[in-house]
Amino acid sequence: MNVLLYAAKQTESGERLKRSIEASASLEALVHCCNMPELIRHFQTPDPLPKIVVLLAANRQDLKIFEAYRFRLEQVFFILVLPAADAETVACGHQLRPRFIAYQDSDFSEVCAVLDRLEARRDGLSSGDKPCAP
Amino acid sequence: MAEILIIDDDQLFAETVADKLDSLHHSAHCVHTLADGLEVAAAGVFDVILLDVWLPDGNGLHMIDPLRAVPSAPQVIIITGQGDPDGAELAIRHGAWCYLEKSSIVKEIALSLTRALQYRQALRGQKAVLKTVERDQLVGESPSFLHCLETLAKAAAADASVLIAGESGTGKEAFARAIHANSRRKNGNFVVVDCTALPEQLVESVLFGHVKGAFTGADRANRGLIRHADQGTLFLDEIGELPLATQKSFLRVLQERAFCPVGSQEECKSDFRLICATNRDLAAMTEQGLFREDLLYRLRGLSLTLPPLREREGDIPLLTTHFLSRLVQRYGQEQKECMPDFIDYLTSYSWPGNVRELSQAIESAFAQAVYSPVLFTQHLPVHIRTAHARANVTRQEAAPLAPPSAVPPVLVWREAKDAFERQYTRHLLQQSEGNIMEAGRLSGLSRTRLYQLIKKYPEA
Repeated sequence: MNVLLYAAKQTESGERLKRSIEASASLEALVHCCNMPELIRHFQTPDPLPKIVVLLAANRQDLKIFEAYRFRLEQVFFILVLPAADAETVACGHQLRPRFIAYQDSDFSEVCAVLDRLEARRDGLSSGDKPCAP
Repeated sequence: MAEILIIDDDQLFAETVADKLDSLHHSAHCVHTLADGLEVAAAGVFDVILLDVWLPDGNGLHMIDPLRAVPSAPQVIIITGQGDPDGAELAIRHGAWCYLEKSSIVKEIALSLTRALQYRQALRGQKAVLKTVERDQLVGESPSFLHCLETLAKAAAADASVLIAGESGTGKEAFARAIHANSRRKNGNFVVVDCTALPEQLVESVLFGHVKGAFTGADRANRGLIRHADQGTLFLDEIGELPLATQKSFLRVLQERAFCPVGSQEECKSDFRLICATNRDLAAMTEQGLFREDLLYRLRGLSLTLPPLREREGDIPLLTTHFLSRLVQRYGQEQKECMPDFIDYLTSYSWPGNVRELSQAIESAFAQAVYSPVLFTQHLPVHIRTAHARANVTRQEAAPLAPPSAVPPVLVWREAKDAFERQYTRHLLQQSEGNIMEAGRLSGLSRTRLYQLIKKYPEA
């Protein structure tokens, strides 16, 4: 499983999310964008993105920037981590059409579970859910 | 005028093709072995190389890469007397422009050559600036697609649950979004639940939400997606994947529009419109006990089955134009044109991945043709080109057996011996791929004798 992760550098939630994804047993390669210009460079080239993209929005401004590149997220499994759970932020999040939504203050175990579920389905494992690595 | 190199050991055939190219105002140069071909190609400037497969010193298919890598980067057209689908696929995979059979080369070379030369010309293109635009993919005029649009219009005006069926990639989510966008709920959220991605232990908390401390890891409360969809639309993608236990809970939600978050006794309400999608036969699943029949009845207030792309007559060119225009706008480029055979390749392909696969193929071609104002078949993904190549090569049928009564005429000894030697030498060189050491090992003949045979039968 190849993952593109955007999580701003030196944020507690970003580091935690990165560690959670890295701990996933199904991870093969992780491209970590530590800043917005780096992420935008990925979006601006027409080359295919990794099959799974995880974006951690630090604030509403980040969500607005992601909106401009929504078309790039339509062909991938897109997981969005929202900065807050208020109605307006949630509405902005759904505008981006994510396949799964998580929140910045969670422990990200559900993100890991979803990634493992995707990998299990890809491998055709009917039993489903491989556990996250400890 | 183009510079063309012909590599073919059949001198008469090479000369014939050279004459044809001359009549097309191109300059042709002939060589008869791979070694000579590589040397001449590296030293000269050629636009196109016509390359035979079976040559005295090796298999032409194995030399496509080195020939394409010479400084003038010519296009390579494979020419063969023996049509072979595997050879055609191998040729395309190695980057050959196309694969022509010798029997039809005089007829077909002009068009193939023109395309290859236009492609080379177009490679010298312009650069692009990137930008983005809105997406809209409900494009098509085929009767089956128009029928779906009629149902969409009815669904948008109503508030009943909708079940959208269809193969993967047919655009089920796009239809669901269009229903939402045209409905009275358009200002509410369109909430996607991807049932294929949710592990069983997560489904209920994701849908119904949970209170803080409801389970290990529930450090904070979560409202759940059903409440996100309040006043809007809840879209359950691939609902056939929903676990049976959750189906029961969800049925109650549909009946009462009320539910309890995980870990809570307090009832919550949500006024949402439900749209579901599936690529599975839910009726068959109910018979197998894998899907609740009562839930299925609830889901299909309105049903819509999207046709696979292969059944949408005439829609592929329209979709192609649409996807291309969208990409051109997004990346700030000049409008790109498609060669007629580019569209032919697309329309003759079966598109098992449907509209999504077509969209991805056009994006891939667009990325390949970023500096070209014209899209050529060469820009398409290799699996589409190989499918086309395979479909268009007629496999060589075994020569019909002579009727039992027809006894072949007796040749004089010298002619029969020559015929045998010619056939044996050709077969030996094919098996050894032109490697003299290997040919010697296989035949037990001396190197001197082998060279005598090759000299005596150069056509072998």
